[in-house]
Amino acid sequence: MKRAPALSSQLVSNLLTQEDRWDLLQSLEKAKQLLYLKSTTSDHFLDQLRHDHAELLRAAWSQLFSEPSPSEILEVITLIEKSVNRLPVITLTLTYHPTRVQIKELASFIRSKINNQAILEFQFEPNLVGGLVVQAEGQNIDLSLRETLLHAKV
Amino acid sequence: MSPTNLILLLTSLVSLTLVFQVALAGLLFLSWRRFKIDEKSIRYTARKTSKQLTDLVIDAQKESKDLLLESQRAAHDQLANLPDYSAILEKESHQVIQELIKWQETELKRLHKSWTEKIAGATASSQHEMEEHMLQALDSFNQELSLSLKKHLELLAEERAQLKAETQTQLKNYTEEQKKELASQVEKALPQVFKGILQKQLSPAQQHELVMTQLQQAWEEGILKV
Repeated sequence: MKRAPALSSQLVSNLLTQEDRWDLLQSLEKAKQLLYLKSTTSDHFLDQLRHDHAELLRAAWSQLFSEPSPSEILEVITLIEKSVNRLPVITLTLTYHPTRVQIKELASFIRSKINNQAILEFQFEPNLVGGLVVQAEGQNIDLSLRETLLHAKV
Repeated sequence: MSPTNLILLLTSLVSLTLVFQVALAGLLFLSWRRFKIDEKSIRYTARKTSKQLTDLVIDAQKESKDLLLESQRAAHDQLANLPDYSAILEKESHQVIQELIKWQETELKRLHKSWTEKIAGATASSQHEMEEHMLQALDSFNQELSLSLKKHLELLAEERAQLKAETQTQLKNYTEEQKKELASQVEKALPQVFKGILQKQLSPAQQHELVMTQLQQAWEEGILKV
């Protein structure tokens, strides 16, 4: 398990949002069930998972083991689950529904400035008028236009 | 290979190298220029967005100020329509005084008549004494009436002062309540006003641009440190 940090970094780059995290965790759970049922080292069971998740798992154990046994594959899956569950969440409340490209842009900014492993959770609140609210580690940073304008003297 | 050919070959090589260097320099210049243009374009967009936002905020502030003034005018109209207690009181006291004067005249006539009859029926010796009594009685009546009027006017003045104080308190309370109501109305209305203005003018892409600008600004100001 010498290359675990590399695995973690690869995971983070693929996961941007909470939805991505739930999807991957579901795939991992399904992979474990299939592995228990078939008890095989063949990776055909991965075909039943989402393509990118299957690729990730395949790459993960090929990085760590040359010929992994079923127990070693399970070990890798558990390692990935732990890494995924440890990722910190930053909630962004916005006045619009961001596209995937916009999510990537936001994630890139947040990861370069605040936390390089953060995954994003989005909330929609049109009453903010404009701007956003950032919630992370118990802090609430209101950068909305409503906040700015209500505190400005009319 | 003959020396001429060798010279020709070398010359060609040198020329090719020169052409390659010039082309490379050209490419470098073009990419630098492109970078400068991109930088200019980003700055221009940022300035444009900033100006657009400033205009929006100014519009919104103007609109909210109009809203505030309109509400204040409405409150002022309501205050102006409150009943004028002073005028009512003036009218009432005038009526009371008129009635008192009328009663005084009637009572004086009745007394005068009664005494005149008594005097006429009296003996000559006692007429003078009776006239004295009558004058004293009328004088006493006048005094009593004056006191009564004075007392009544004092009561009226007291009532008037009390009513005035009550009205003032009422007006003061009303204004405070009105102020609170106004503040609450304006607070509720402001986001709607701004939201309306922004949604009319900003597309989701522009809203995203605004979010990125605010994140960058918050980061530069050190607000975004979690």
